[in-house]
Amino acid sequence: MQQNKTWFKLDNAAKIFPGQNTSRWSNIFRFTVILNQKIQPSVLEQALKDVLPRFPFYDVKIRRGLFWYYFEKNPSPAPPVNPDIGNPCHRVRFSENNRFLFRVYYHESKIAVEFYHALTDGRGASVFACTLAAQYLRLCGYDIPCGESVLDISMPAKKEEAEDSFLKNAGSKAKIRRSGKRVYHAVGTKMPAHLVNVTTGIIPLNTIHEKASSMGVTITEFIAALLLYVHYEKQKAEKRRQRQVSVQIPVSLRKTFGSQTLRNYSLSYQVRIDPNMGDYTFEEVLKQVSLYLRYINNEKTLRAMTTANLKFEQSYLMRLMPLFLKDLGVGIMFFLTGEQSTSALCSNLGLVRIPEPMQRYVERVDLMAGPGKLNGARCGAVGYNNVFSITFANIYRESDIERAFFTSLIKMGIPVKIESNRM
Amino acid sequence: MSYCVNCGVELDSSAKKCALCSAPVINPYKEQNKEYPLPYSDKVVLPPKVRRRYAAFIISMIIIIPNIICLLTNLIFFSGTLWALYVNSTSTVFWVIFISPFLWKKTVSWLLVIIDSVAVSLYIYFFYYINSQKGWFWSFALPAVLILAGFAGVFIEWIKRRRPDWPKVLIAVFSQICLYSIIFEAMLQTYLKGAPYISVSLIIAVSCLVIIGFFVAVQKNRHLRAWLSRKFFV
Repeated sequence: MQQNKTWFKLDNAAKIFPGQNTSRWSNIFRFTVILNQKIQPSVLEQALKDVLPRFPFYDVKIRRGLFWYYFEKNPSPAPPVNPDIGNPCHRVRFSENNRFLFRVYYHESKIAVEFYHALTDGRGASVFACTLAAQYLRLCGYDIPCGESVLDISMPAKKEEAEDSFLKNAGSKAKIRRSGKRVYHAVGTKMPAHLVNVTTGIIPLNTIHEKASSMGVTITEFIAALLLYVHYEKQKAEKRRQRQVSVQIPVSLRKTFGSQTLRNYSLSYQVRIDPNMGDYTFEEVLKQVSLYLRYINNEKTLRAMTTANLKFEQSYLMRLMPLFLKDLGVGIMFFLTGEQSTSALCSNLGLVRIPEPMQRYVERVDLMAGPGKLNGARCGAVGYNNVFSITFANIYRESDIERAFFTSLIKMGIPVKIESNRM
Repeated sequence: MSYCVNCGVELDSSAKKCALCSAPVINPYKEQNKEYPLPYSDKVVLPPKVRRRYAAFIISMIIIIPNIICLLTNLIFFSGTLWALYVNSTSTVFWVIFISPFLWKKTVSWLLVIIDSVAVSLYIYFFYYINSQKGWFWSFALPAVLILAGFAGVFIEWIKRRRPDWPKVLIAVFSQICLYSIIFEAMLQTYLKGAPYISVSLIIAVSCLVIIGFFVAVQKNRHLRAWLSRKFFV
């Protein structure tokens, strides 16, 4: 992206988010870097000002056009750096926060960045947060080189980092639509608006990796299957009409299509099991998840899914429809299909890599998925060095999903340390 | 470090109970007076609400413009009649009930009910006066409005004080509809026929009682309640 470009279009994934944004709910997620020292807010503020020009695609505000939303260069210097709050990922309003679409918080030794999903996905957020943490450490007097997830802030942004890779890599003749069939949702007592229960489980990466490998699956497959199995067991215990149980698994497309974009570039798979077909053991669920992901995770299928998603924005009828009608349509579609077709979300960002000299100062990274409207526990996972953290964002008071999930890991011999905002 | 005896997970040093099962943390080796940093901030910051007054002001302006146009058209081109007053009075009552509460910094429910009742009463009185009719306003319309205002006032105060959950709110709403329809018809029949006969309101009342019965069942059945919450969340 050219540094002087003053506006640009939202990418394909981003286009649905502003239409769903309400005064009670937004699609926002959080990436946290935990250092081994207490954060100095003034230094963090300076680091943010230094880093932001390197990310011109985040240095924006969102505006309404007649037909589409668009991003425009934000004239404000940077968003404020605030002390952390106990209700992360609350709704975004476009006029707040100096009109920036990401928020920066600090708490003890944590630097947390909350991104509105229209800006980027987990990968973009991790690169931004790691670059910010690296610059913070530099300003604290440490010598931190660039590399891996830490970008060189003396260089301008690359064109490939700002590209809409959905547009670039679509073009399949086939179109694969996601299923909109309604599934089981775990229920509980809803928290008041803007509040969410956050529970992070910290696990030795080598232990969970060994366990997953011993069962012949990847870590993503393992935790997604466990989450699916926990929901399946919960529904069975409720002795109600048995619906399908599904877990949504977002997958970054960067590796498959060789993209370097730091904007959204991921798709979601939905893995389902149908309890009406019979009783499942965890091993059977694991096998189903693993086989399905391996079957679907190939370039041709992903391209066909991308093409199907792009159909909406490329249709002439849709393009000529005024924005308020599009918003209305997106809102209704989200109400009818959105979370209705997924029981839970399991987003594993994978391993975050940072330069070796920086690793001495970084203890852990966390990924928190945004709280859902129907999905009780939405799970975000990320690995760093030998630490794997799994964070649940739960809109219900009850913690039975998290408890079943983490105690299952304990029973499998995987130690878990818990941190939570539940007092 | 402490572990939950129930779940087996290691807990944060600051934890006083297990975040998964709420079991209290009792560790005799932990320093009791030491302040451990919390993993998450304990400060909850609720985002500010929508700028309602600004939106209400814009809507007020949008309502005023056609009303002025109607009034001017009436005065200039149709000076013999005053049909614009019907438009103006209807707009005014709409504005008082639906828009003006958003212009207040703090909504006072009892004052709101009084203002709305006065506005509706004046609106009805306007038609009563214009049509030069006698009797029905004082003997039927005004008492009906005042009783409705009383019902609304009691309902709002009950919501504010008790903060009931949604099935109870719906039970209260349908109970009020049931009761009010009977009172309304009795008053109307007394005015028209001199005796409080009831017929149509009985159908409304029976329908309301069926709905109330359903929501009483919802109130008692946790699963049904959760299912309805899930299906009709807003």
